[in-house]
Amino acid sequence: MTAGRSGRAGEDPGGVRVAPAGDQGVYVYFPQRIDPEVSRRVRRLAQALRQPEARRRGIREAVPAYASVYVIFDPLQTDHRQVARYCRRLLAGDAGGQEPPARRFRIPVVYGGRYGPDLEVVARHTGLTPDQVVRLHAGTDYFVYFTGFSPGFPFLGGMSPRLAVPRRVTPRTRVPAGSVGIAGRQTGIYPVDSPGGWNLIGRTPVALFHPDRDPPALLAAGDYVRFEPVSPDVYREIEAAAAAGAYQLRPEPVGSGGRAVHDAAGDAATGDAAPGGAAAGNAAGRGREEESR
Amino acid sequence: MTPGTPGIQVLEPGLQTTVQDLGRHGRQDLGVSPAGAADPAALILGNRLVGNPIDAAGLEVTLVGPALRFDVDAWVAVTGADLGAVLDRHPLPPGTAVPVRAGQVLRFRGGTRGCRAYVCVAGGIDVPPVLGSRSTDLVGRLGGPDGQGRPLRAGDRLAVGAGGFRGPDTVVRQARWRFVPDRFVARVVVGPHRDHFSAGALETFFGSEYTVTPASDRTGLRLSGPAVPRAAGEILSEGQALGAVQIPPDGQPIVLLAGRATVGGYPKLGVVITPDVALLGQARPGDTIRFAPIDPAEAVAVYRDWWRQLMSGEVVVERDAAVRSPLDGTFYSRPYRGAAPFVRPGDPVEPGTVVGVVEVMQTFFDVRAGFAGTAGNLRVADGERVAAGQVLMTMVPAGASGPAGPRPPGSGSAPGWWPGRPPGPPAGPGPRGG
Repeated sequence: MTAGRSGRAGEDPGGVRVAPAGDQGVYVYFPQRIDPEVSRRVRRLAQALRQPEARRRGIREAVPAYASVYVIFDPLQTDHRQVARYCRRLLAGDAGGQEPPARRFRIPVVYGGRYGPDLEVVARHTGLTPDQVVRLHAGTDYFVYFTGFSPGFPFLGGMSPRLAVPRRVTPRTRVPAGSVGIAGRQTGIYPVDSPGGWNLIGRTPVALFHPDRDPPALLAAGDYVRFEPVSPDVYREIEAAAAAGAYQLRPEPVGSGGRAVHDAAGDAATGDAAPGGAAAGNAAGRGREEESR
Repeated sequence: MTPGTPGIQVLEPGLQTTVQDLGRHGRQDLGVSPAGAADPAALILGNRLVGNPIDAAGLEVTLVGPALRFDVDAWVAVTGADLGAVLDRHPLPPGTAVPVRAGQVLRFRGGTRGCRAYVCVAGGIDVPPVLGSRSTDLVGRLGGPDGQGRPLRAGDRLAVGAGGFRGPDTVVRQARWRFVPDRFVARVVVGPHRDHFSAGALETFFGSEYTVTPASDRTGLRLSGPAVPRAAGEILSEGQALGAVQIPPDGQPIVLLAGRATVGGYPKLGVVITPDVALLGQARPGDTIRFAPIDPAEAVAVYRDWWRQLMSGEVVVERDAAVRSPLDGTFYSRPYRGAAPFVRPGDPVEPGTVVGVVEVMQTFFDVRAGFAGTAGNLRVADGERVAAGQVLMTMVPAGASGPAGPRPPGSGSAPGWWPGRPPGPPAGPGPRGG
């Protein structure tokens, strides 16, 4: 299924490789690195592959990740060769239309205590105080590379390397939904109750995924996330409002002026602009609550 | 469902019984697993047998089946593995649709081959759809009886939708399909991570036999066998194809099935083609699997042929299961008073076998079966007046076999499962039957 003129193994000058995936898919590979520019190309291709024109050509689904798009097609209608050719054409034309403007979600988090039982562990391991861990973690914008693995789970980039902590030796059998954790150089939010080995430093009452919402996932690839420390009281208020269907987290636009950064090192330095500690972020957290309906 | 709505009551849940349709597609970019039947061919054929759209929801039964009590009359087909389905006490052969009466209980006695059976009901299992599908996503916690992604529990009540086959109960619908192969051979398109594997690694993989371990589940088959060497290191996390053959650091392959997560980070040696993923849905712990390479163009051709067969009129056959009276007269089920009946329910019957006699003006006419099969219950009483053309007995025609090869052993003989009553309003609960 080497696609014609573009050379061996489907390699492109732009570093794009197309590889077969069984009888109803191909993978489109970009240069294999975690990089916002690669991510932008991934998103553009995935978006183009969701347009009606792609659907007409028998493409059913496009699953973007860090540096790849898994393209599922209907084998009754098309085949690997045609889909590979179409993907290359989209890439050559840089099709995909206008990228939606970047958004930033401020996600309220209670750090420490029973909400984040491993905060002390992370502090000890990193040689920081728990307060410094919170400041560092909450003081930067994280970039959503993609969502996947489980419903609404964001793969976030941009955590300060100073917060890197290995996974727990013994995973927990149950991690509550909304838990915010650190594993290696990654930070993330558990969208559903599940077993897990991440170090839990906090928890958010915000649901990352709700099947009745449109779109069902709160976060999308290309978004930015900022964690906002709030008190347990605020957590409970939000939780109650969410249960009553009266809470919706609205994103703010990421303007050209206050451009969000995904570069952790650069941003960590500005960390002191963030609310101070686990209990001090009340006002900031409250400000983002928006009543709807 | 709201309490009191008639449908199906779960008396015992079985090992892991889940509601499944053909999957929750189109949201993998949000992390929503497609889930769906592990053996989609069996679900599709079960739905076709009971007249449902092919993507209606049915019950996926795993190794140890549930006990289900029907509160409504329904047409039901059990497809896939022969896990010993019995309706009340009468064996129900796989791939056959039968009418079930309110109050009857469907159970599974267990089987020796295949992993999953599918219970399809005319009208479909009507749990609330989540994101366009009723499939149970056990990992992402979506779909199923209450939308929370769990298997059935004792006490669950499942609504049955409207529609589907509502034909006369003198017909039998059968699927000509081989649901469980004698040997598992899965065809694999090599790639996408071809470069992570040496020629020797591919030789090991395609030249060895792998055993399904008990750690296998709906997310994937965890295999054990000769380790497949691979390049060190992981790949960047990426989308997960159905049937992907992942090679973790220990070299023991994992084949991803319908319940997989949407993203993973092990290199993929290849991807099993869809028709063979359906077969692998029937592999149980201890079964052995071999893999064979296939190129992408051929894989598409195989898929198209598989789909054409699955959808063709030839694989679902409807047969008149009635033995009718040749003329007006009086029916007798035995040659003379006190003698044994010509046939008993469950007896094998050949074309021409005498199943009774009809007396007209002191003359006795033999009633003969027109086809091979298994005797069901008599529909008329001994000595009853009958009219020409009246149904005297129903049968299960002998096992279907067809383009997909011979049916699994044991499915050809079907003792008298046939419900022994003429159609009528449902009576109260309680066991009954032939």
